[in-house]
Amino acid sequence: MTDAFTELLSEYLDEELSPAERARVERHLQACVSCRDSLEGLRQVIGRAKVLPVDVPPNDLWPGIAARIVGPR
Amino acid sequence: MRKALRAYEVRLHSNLPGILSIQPLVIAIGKEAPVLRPITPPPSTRAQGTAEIPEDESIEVALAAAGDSRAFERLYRRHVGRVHSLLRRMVGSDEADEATQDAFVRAWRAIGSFRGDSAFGTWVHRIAVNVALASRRGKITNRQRFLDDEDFLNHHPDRPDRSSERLDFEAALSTLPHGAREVLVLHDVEGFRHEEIAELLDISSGTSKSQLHRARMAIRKVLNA
Repeated sequence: MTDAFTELLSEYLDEELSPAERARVERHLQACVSCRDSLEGLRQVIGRAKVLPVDVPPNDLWPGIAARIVGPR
Repeated sequence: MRKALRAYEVRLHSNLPGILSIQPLVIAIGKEAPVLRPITPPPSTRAQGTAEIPEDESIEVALAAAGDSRAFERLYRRHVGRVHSLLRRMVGSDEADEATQDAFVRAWRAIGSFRGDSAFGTWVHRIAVNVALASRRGKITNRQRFLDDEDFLNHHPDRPDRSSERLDFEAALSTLPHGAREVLVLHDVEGFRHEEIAELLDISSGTSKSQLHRARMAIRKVLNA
């Protein structure tokens, strides 16, 4: 389920709401189980996005680059 | 009235004598005592998992700018992981190799104009973002780029691998429309601000915010399915 407050949850987590909006969302969260659930889910998505690994490509791409950068710029 | 003066803090690296590090600062002058605060760091240094910039990077950059392709190869090997990971997430695995090569070829051609006021990694990252955005221009319409209200409520992405019981985050990301995926990667993975994303994607900040929220909700839904 979503409601009008669900739309504000990302901005709440990103600390982009005004103090008044933030207080409204916090009051709503105390009463709405669904929004608390959504908030926790969003928090997990953000947390996982921040720690995505950096992977070196399986193929060595340098030979293809070297072939294209030969000669004057 | 306050004036802001740009100044530079010049300090010696304690473990590499003779190499200067130049860090831009803003000095605010007003009635109060002068305040020194660092300028907002560029996106790539805000992102998680950023490797520390090696002390000798400026030397490698200078050599590459002078035409030393071996120095440029060393820069490539140092940064290819982050560039390729970014491009894989933005354009997909099938196009990531070619896009990575395009980004580094562009960087080679432009390195003479690299001013060094940001880290080389930040600079080449920006080039990679532009390569990603250019690769999808003309391929898709706005209708296919973003999640609208109806899409958001009824987002039932194809599962890339139905044999696995649980999709991982990367696979969930790949199910998003291009535009929504770009916003999420740029904001949550790379650390760009909404204003920067709006400029890059030619959308409003409000659209960037709403797409980010919908993308996060869609991923949550896929991961919980």
